[in-house]
Amino acid sequence: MVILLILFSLILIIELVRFYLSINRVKKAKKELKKREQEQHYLNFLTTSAVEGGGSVAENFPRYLNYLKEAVNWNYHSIFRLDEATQLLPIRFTGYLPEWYMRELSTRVLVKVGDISIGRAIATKQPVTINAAIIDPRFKDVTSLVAQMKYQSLTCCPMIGRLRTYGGFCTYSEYKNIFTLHDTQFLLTCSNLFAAILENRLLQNYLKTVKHQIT
Amino acid sequence: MIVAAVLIIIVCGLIEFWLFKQRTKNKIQNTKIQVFNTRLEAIKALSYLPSSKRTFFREDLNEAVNSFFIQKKYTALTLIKILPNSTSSYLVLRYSLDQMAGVEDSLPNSLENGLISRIKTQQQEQKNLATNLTLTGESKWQVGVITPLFYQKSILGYLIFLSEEKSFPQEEEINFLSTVARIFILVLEKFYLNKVLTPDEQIKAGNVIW
Repeated sequence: MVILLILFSLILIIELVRFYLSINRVKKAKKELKKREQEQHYLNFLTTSAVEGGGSVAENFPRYLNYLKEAVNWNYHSIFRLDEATQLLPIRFTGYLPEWYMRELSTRVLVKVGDISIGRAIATKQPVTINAAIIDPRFKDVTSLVAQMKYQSLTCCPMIGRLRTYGGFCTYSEYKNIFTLHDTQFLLTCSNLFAAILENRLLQNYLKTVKHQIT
Repeated sequence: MIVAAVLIIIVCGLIEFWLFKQRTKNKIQNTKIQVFNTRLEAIKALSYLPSSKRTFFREDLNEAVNSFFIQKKYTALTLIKILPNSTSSYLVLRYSLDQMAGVEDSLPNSLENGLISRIKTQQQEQKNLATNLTLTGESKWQVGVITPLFYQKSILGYLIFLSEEKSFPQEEEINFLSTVARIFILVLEKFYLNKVLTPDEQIKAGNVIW
């Protein structure tokens, strides 16, 4: 009888462990599902804004970055512009990054094509993910800045249009090893759409200027 | 002791029953996640098109349709483009999963006309319309979604998605189809700008410091 009771107790412990694991599985799946819905919602917002027109590049892109932060909750985002003459990448727009960071990165650090993560993304035309920025040798020149900003990992994607490469788009997180393959695919989709929207906007602006000059 | 044993058996039984329910719930959630992943795959493939260097619209459209059919639910897609300087002349291109090359026509068929007139009479030209097609007698298609291609206060045309599955699209599915339609609009805008501006003008416009 005692042996049976011990056996049943063991079975109960196993059942409780299974119960706990099942709760975690369902929670994780629920979180993933919510994230997918928010990503879909963001792409819907981005394409709606692109098609409705209105607003300048300087007004729209910070809005896109801020909304991205609210949708998927990574810490910061930034867009770098490619200066083809000097092959440098000054920072252009940021989402939730402080102004001093923009100043520091624009004046103290001259990011070149091929350098660190954003430069490599533009040079190779492929997304680049860094899982631990503090110890990555590519970040040795900006270690103090990275420590101050407290970001641990980042993903950079190039913004490639039909006519040229416009720059790159970076997403930063305060956690290490946070960006999965799915996240990289989503961010690459966003950067493709940013490039297309930017290019169409620049061409439309030029067309309006030409029409205005004719009239 | 017997009571304790019986209690343990009852508790284990309840936990097993609860686990069974949670497994079913988890399966449904995972299926939904897979559907979202497939949709993101389709949108990612489509996102390359507004920046593609192809010179002919049909080439981009064929690629767009191939990318769209990554999701398995909608197996036919029709693009109805309103020709410039006209409200009743159309270019109709019909694609289906087994006919990827696309069939060209100059007029919408009765099903397409029905959907267009419904969306016009409901004065919802900026919104999508999802409808159950079994009521119209079309035996093959169960559900149709028509999305107007609305760009800067004018309608460029319509995209019609047809499905043989009976499940009526929910809001997030309609949002996905709207996102696909808007990417088509970006592609149309690209060709329009390519036509209106010379290559030198385009390069000059693209080199502006933004």
